[in-house]
Amino acid sequence: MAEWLRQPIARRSALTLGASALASSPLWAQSLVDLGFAEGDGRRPLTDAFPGKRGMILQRTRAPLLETPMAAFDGALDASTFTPNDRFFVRWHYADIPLSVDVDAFRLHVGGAVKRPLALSLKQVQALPQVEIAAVNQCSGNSRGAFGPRVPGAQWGNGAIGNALWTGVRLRDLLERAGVAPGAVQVQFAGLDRPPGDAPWFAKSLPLGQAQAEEVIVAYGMNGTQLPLLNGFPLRLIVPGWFSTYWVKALDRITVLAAPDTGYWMDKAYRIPATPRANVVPGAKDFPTVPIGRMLPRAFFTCADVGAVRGIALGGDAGVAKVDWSVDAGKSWHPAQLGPDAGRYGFRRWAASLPPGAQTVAVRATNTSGETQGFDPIWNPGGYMRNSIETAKVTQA
Amino acid sequence: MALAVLVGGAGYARPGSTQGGGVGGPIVLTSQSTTLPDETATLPDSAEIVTINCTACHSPEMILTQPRLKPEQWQAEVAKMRGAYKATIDEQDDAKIVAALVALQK
Repeated sequence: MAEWLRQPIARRSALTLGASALASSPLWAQSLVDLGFAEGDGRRPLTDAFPGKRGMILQRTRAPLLETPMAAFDGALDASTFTPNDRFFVRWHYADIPLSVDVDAFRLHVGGAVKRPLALSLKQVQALPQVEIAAVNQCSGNSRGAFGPRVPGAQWGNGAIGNALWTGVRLRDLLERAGVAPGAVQVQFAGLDRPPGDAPWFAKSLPLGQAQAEEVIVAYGMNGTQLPLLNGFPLRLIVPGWFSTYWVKALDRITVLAAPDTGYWMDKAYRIPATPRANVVPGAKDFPTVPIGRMLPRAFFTCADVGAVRGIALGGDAGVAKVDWSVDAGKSWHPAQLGPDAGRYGFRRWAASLPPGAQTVAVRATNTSGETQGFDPIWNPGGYMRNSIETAKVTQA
Repeated sequence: MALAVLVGGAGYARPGSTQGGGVGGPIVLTSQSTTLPDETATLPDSAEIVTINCTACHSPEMILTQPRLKPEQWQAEVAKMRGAYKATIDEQDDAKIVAALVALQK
């Protein structure tokens, strides 16, 4: 079994986080997992201590970074592809996050370059036509710990990702109510989290056309219930097919912009090389960059042992067309079985029936636009957008 | 394309643009209030200058889980915290902070 698939490897009392972290294993951590990073630095505590969460990989207590163990995604081909809310990953930039939200007092502001600025109660938001969409939410830096050479930042394994059924209202219905003024070019989103001191407020912007796309919604429901506080209660922007950085949590401010957003979080952060798959030669600098945007196809293992070789896949901004496996380092590929199609932006389950023996199996997803994955390890200094082919060592009887 | 085409199957209710549809009917919103667990991660006394300058904004796991970084990479992180995030780190302390960060990874 691959290193990163290991389940809790020991009681906390028997292990430390490593020599550099002797004093840092939280008392409330129940056990450790190993994310299998190259320097042997992938051990992390598992925790049940955060509200509304259980069995999460603790990356950072403040501001919370909680990763989903891959085992939480595992299931038979016909099992639900939705990630339970209490296992859904958590990522906040700043420590001052909303820990108390009064649903009667909350207002969603829509302003900027609009004809009629709005301040809507949640009841008024919910009075708009309700829609649902299944969509994968993936951190831009998911799998950053697998980069080689390594890059600084949150050292995620593969679990800064999840799939949910989101319920809410179309962003474009809100924008229509406010009336987008002529000349508008972008729409900016901000939430209830606050920066420390003079740090830049977290805000992200979408091109106006993307903001008006039919599938972009302001969600008040996640898998049939209200969102956990840690996932952005009471409202979260959902941008199917795009990375999580745009899925602003605790969304309370929508601002239509007449000029492109030049704030830190668009102009400096979350930028990728303007190259195919965001790939540059390790160490490269001074290359043209663009804001990160749409996701690429990926296939992950959720189980790889003698009993089953199976997992989940996403197509990026298109559906999963197929998942293939190889046990000869990519010389020949064989189709995996696919689970039911739950929508182009959601997870799709796959399972492989391998020949007997000990082998290294690779899996590759291809989306309905024909995009696929490669063996080459992509690199960029931000550790963004990894979609290299995953492999696992497995012995089949 | 209709949302009804984007989502479907897998045993879940047909999505769509109707009011109050969905897996669990209407979503009922109720006020939430919570607290986060206490922090327990600490840095050794030898890294006090890191504790003082870095942990006001984030808990020490952010430092302890980094891959081995070269001094110039740590220096770039310190400069980013000061430049981009306006952390009040005295430039005169940079060398000591970087040395302590490197020592933490020994």
